[in-house]
Amino acid sequence: MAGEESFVEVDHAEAIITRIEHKSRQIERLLRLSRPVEALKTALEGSPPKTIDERCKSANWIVVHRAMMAIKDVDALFSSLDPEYYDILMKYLYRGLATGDRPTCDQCLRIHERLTERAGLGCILRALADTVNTV
Amino acid sequence: MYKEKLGLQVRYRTRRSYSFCFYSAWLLFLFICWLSASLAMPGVPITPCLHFAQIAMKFISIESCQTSGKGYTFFKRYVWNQDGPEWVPTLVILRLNRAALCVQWSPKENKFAVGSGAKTVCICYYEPENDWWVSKLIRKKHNSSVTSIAWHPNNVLLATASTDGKCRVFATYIKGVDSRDSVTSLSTDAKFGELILQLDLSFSWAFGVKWSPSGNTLAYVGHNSTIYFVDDVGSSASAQTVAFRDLPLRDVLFVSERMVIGVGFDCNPMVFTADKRGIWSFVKFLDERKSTPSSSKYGSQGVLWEKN
Repeated sequence: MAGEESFVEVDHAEAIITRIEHKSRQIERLLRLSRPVEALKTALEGSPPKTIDERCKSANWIVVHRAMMAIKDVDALFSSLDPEYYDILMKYLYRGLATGDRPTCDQCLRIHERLTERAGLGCILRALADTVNTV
Repeated sequence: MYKEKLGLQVRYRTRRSYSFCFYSAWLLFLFICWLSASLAMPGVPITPCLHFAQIAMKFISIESCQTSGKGYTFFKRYVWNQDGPEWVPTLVILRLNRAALCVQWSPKENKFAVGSGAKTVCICYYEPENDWWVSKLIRKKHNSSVTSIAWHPNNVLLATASTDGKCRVFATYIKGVDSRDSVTSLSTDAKFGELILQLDLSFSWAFGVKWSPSGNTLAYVGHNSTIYFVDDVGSSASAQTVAFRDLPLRDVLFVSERMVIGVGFDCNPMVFTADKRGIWSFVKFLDERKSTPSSSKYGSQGVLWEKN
């Protein structure tokens, strides 16, 4: 029974990784057109939170990281980002802060400051308290 | 002031409800008298929960004591009856091996329920033949501590919130105590301890479950700064999640069918209302706050959002 479940999981994981690769091509295209906000939105959309597979999560994180580092104007980001993305962005920010890499952390902290002003402490709580849907 | 250590639920009332202020002041006075009396004795028992039944003029207190011999902690429940000028305690054995976390009389005040850290809920009722309170346990369904319980107005349904993130509704029909007439369509022929509904909306600890005055809506809070409303629990349950921007709530109260007040870690009660379509949203804080740069956004949909 467990074997069967992991078999299904692997199949599903392959499908997710293909989707993520497709997404990263889209994001590269958007970044070339200097539309970093849309690139980030594309990266955050369709994040696979319920997958236990670490590869999918890492793959998605790489894509989100690429989009996030390309953001120069954080205020412009928040004037056009919809509130439904706040929670998932906060989770990725904490993942970025956990890497310990200097440029990543700097960028994450800049975005975190603005995001907390917009979304409040509740957003942080939702990112931390949710142990089921991790990124 | 949120007296979490004493386990009292401080309810915020409007200026008009003096009777409630009197009732809570009376309860506090009783508790202080009891505390001062018990502190004089060795082996101080702690009362984590208290609930008063207004009509029957009884109240329940739960104590935890340590016996010196085995170093056991066991939990006693006392039902206090007023006998002339004094309050007389009656011991109720709960058969729990973990902390009792919450207690409440049923609406008809003939039963009470206790939620515990032992992943069980105890329903106790009075047996007149033996002049004794008997407890029945609801085991097996909860995966973690039961933090909060609420009785439905029909005296049979009980909603529980647990730290496994789920809110469950059970039927607690007891032969001899409940009559079948009082049973609604939700719980017809349901046995004691039968799980009617399980709500899997929250991914973090659930607290503070309450029914609306008619019993049609259920509200509970999650530790991830969200509040969940479930309408039409009987026929076709529809759930709404309201995520808000501040620190999590710990308890809620239905002021009316369409208004809920939540209290929590912000030390500032939050008001939620349902509009004509039945969509719940955050309205305002009860205490006025100093204006912040984004204060104009507190009531707007731009900052606070709800998902169906």
